[in-house]
Amino acid sequence: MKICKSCVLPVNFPHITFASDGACNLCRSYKGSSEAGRLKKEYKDKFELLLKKIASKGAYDILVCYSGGKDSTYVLSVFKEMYGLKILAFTFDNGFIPERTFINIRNAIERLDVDHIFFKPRFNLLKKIFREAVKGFLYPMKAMERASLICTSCIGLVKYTALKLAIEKEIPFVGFGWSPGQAPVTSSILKINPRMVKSMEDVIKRPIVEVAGKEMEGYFLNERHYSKPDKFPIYIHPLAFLKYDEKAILNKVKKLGWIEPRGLDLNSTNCYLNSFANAAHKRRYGFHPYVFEIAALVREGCMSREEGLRRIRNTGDRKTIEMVKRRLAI
Amino acid sequence: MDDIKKVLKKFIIDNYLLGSQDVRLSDDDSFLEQGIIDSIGVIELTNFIQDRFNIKINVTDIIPENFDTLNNLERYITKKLKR
Ligand SMILES: [Zn+2]
Repeated sequence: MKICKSCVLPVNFPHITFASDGACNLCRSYKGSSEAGRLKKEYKDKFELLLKKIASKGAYDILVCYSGGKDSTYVLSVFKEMYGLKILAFTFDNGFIPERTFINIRNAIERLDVDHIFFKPRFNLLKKIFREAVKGFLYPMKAMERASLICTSCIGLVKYTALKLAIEKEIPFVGFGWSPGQAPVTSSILKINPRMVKSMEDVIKRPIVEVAGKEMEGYFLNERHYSKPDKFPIYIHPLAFLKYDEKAILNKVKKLGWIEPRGLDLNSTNCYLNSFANAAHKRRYGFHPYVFEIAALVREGCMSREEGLRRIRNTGDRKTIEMVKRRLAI
Repeated sequence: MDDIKKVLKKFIIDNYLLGSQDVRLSDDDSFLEQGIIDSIGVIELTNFIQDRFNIKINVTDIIPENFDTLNNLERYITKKLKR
């Protein structure tokens, strides 16, 4: 299969075009790293200014969506140690968190001395959603370009349960550990109008309610939340404006007692479901669901092309995939 | 008038449909419903419009009535430019 000579996007990725020199259109239009550096500084300053302006009136400054993976563990340390924020860390348990990740979470939140809550929705409902997602259900086609549909469903639930929690607890910021390939720097500080949020929520909520039933509505926002537009938080993606260096991130999180769990694929450090979701996506659409993100990391110099290729060629752990299938009864 | 729409369409196709020549994006297609633009995309689109048309967009203006289709966006930008 033809792959871009600069990044890792394959010729069968939706809408991609190649020039005669073998570079894809995204690489050809990439503006270079000096522009990226300028923007990073601009957004970092912007966030620091915002922090001064928006002091929390409640117990917390920021709700951190904390998966227990290396990036979000690192982000937790950034908010605590670099910015000195009052943190509530939030972990969504999708039923596929490795045992080692639970230990990693406990180690990090104790060493960083932050409050933390787990939320585990009923597994039967999640099972229905994941089983349908793998068949390629209901979301706009566009969604499958950036992630597997299982991931899209799961992250959608994480995002809206976190948003609800932030509104209810009046927490002004919500932090995520997206890599710069998942969230570009220009969107690292995100304030979205609640009415726009509602339209976006609908795109995820409608299909989920359709496959798992009306009970799922309770996991999303309701009129009570939408009646408080001034309580909607600002989303912060700090890895987009800080230096993203995987080695440095691993060094830091190891000091917090973090050890990489076994049985995972190369693109996740906290979720057993990922290998299965990736394999299903690749089978259905012909390309790896992480390829867009990895291509961006390679383009921006955060990852070597060789490493990028290794990650998209990795097929994950066979035993883990079998375990996931059993648990989902597929 | 047509220029605004052309500029917007080019930005959206270049950035969210990867510059594809063969996409059909009609003036009333909903960006949100089709999943063309998510929360991250909306902010990028807002930044682009502010720079390109030299207007200031308030968060309160970023609502589906103004931002969900090419026609809505064109109407909104035209109104802002007249002020
Ligand atoms: Zn490329």
